[in-house]
Amino acid sequence: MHVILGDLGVVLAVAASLVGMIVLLVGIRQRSEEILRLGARFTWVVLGGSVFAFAILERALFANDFSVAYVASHGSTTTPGLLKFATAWGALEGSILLWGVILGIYLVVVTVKFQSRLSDPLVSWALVTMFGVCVFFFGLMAGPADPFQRVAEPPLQGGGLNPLLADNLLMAFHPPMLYAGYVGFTVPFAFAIAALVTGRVGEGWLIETRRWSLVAWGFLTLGIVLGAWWAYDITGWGGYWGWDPVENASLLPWLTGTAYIHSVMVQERRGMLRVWNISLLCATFALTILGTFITRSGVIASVHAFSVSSIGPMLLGFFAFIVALTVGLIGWRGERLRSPGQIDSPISREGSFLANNLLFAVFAFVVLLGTVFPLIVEAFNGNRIAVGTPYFERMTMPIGMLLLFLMAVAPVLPWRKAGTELLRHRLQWPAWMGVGALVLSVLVGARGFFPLVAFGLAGFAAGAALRQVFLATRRNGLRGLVGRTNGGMIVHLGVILIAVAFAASNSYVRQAEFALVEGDVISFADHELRFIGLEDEVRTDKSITRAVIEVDGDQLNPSINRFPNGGQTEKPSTRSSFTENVQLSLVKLADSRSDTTVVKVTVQPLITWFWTGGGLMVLGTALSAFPTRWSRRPTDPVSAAAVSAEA
Amino acid sequence: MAKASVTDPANPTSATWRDQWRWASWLLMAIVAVAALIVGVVDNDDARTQGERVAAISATILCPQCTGQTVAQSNVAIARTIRADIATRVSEGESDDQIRQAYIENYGEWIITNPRASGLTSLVWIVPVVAAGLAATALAFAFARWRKALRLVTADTDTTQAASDADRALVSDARDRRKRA
Amino acid sequence: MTGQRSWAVPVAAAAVGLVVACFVLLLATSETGRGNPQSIQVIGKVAPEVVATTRGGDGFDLSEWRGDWSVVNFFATWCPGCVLEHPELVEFDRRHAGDGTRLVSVVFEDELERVNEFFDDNGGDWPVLVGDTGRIATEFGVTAMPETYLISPSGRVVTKWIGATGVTADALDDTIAELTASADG
Repeated sequence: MHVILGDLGVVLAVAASLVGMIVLLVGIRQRSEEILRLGARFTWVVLGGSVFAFAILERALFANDFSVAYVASHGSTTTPGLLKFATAWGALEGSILLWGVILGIYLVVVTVKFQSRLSDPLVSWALVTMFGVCVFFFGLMAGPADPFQRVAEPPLQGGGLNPLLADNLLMAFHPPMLYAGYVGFTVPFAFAIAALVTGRVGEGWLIETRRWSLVAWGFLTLGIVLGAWWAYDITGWGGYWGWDPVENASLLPWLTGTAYIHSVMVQERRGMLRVWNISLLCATFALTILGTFITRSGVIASVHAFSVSSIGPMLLGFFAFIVALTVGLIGWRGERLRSPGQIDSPISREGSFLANNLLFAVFAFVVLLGTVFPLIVEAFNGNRIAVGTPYFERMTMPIGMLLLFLMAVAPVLPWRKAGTELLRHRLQWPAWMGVGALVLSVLVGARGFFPLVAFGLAGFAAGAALRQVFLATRRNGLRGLVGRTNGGMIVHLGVILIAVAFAASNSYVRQAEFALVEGDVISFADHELRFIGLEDEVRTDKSITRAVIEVDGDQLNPSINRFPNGGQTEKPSTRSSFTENVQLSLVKLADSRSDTTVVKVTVQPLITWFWTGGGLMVLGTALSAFPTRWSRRPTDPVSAAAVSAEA
Repeated sequence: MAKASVTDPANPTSATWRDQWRWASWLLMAIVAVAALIVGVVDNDDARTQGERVAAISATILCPQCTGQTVAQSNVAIARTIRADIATRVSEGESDDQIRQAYIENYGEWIITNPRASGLTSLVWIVPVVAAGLAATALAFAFARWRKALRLVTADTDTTQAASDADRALVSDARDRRKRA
Repeated sequence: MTGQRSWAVPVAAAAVGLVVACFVLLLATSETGRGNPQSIQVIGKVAPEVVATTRGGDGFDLSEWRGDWSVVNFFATWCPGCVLEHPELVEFDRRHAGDGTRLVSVVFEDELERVNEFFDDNGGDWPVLVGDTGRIATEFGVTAMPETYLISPSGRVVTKWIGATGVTADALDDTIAELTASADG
């Protein structure tokens, strides 16, 4: 029964997307508002179908209905509550269903927000595009990625979640947040396509979708940070970012998205860079599809990849289609897109945004090239090579330093033009903060040229951001924290914290393995570790063998967990503090033949700054998207004046 | 808010004093920064312990049995064996490069995560640098073009008029309105 | 300003489209779901040094067996494939008792008592090397267990088997016969 109902939900969603698309196209042709409104109603049906299908899948999981293939493979009677809910997206088919649900939600919110303007062709074409994307994803669900397949002979127990997923609660949060980000970019993309198709390529569609882009970017940021936290919690050697192909795949749209939200400000003010911005946005959306392809196709070997499946080629085909469509539309509308206008001077806010875009574009290029380079080499001469962390770190470090410097200088730059005198004045306090940070780092004991330069630049950038926030709050009180510029400064502070955490935790990590017997006391990196003993615990969802170790008096319990489906994971235990994290993980347990337990100890400074920075970034995004006093509604279907040069 | 150093006719020495103080401040900043950096670099105990060397080399050798993990990250038998072997080689005095070369001979080029800087593989290092250089040059050209266009546009316009009293009144009026709003 | 460069955007778009098309082609034609490549560097080369202590306490050096075929088998008691192929190795050793073709096991990440117990229970009295065998394993390019290497009388590694499938006494004999024939012919 679950199979039938679930399939019903999916088919409903596909049908509604298709019909809605057709009705809207008819409505656009006939210029009939009634037909357009009718077409827009189908978004509710899409949402209903997808949510219904999702609810059915959850019901099947909680009822342990092993006649459903997905539940038989990934569900289990022993999985605890929240993780059982999260099993819905723990494997390929379910994750596509989650994508569909989030797409349905965005679709309906767009319809509601724009309901007074449904007769506007811009909005209608945007909905048509979104329906098109729905047709693809729900089509995948109706065909190759069907979570509702029947099992001829239902087993007595399901396969259970992959142990690496089942051991951590972040499983329940990272994918939905990440997908909310990926799917979120569908909305500005749809409006971009609508703008190209209708020819209204001025600033209207851009301003309309500014908040949508910000929200999507915010979710993507949150998703990536949660992913890093999850990796840190389960890998056991203090790693949170491995430049793994799947991680890189999620970073690529984030990089182009960040470039986009900066350079749109130039377009809003000066009407310039239209081709570049629309390309960036379409590239961001295309990269989300490419990322999904890389994760699910197994073309590039990765620790994180889902199992290889047949939807890989379809995702690649969709990616190719999106790029072809975008390239075609931009090529066609090329003439209308180009705008006259100049940027007065590189030393200006516009200039700094252009530099920002240059750096982020190079960053994205490096990440993409490094990720696919093994494939290129193999295609050329058959050799297999690996491109890993050493490459990415060496290439992205100078870019990161330059970005920190830019973050310091850009907020104090005015629009149009600035003289060095102005810079010298405004950058005084930020520069003193930078020097202060440098001196403080040296005093605290940090050594090494590159980390110290990074800390100095971080202080410099933090000074510029704080200066802006201070001035804004001095002028407007608490309202000074809200709005694009000020929210943006809070986001910058978050980025700075993350940069510092990255530099510190990578440069000053100390790691060692110790073979211990009960009662051993060792000293490592100014910490005292005392091995108390081993403990066993058997639970319904897993059986745990944990080592009880006291670190400076605090108890840590790294463990090895065994799951009913035969899987096994090693779960590290971490003691966090503002300054330093100590992480313990078990390499080898004592057993009947040997009474030594091998424990790996990793001591890293400033790891918590990473999560705090991520939180600040999300907070800043929320503040940025907060409606300010001058809430514009520039929805007139008229392009910005593109004829005369800016006065 | 931004106090430009306009010469105040009433007090001609104050501006220059402020300027000098600003220059002195920047100079002092530079001295302190350089001093701190020198301390940070010179005082650095750069010699890595053997354990750190082993960890650093292990981080660049892939675990042959795993997907995408280095021997530093994995705990399977072969990963532990390779880590122990690296430790032995380090204590025997082999250099980082010798150890990596030995593993390339034993397993193949794919086992090292740092792509070589020769042959086809070197492209992965060169292409981004070249691309960045080209992009920066293109941007510089764009700025030059814009500046030339601006000069043509503003060449005839007289921009040297001083603000008249009427203009000043307009500005202060607008400021007051804004403050009240 | 806009009239002169009306071709710029379409040309740039076409260029981008071309690059992405090549990229998609690359991704479409790449194999999926592979693991690491096989480590076969050692095949065709002179066998690495195999010098260690046997479980009986004697010294051992593989180069002493030059002039005859030898089989080097990497083994551990915790490895199910090794346990599976063991009877075949016992058979192989029995067949070639005295004719020069020899077999040696290299124990990998295991304990002496367990190994002794296993061989006592399951037979096999060829040299079994224990102790510091990690270097031997990495020199051969071992990735997983079990792995079996066939070494010619001139001391070269001629072939290797990864895993227990195909490691039968017959298969080993057939391969030796084939290679001896082609060397003579």
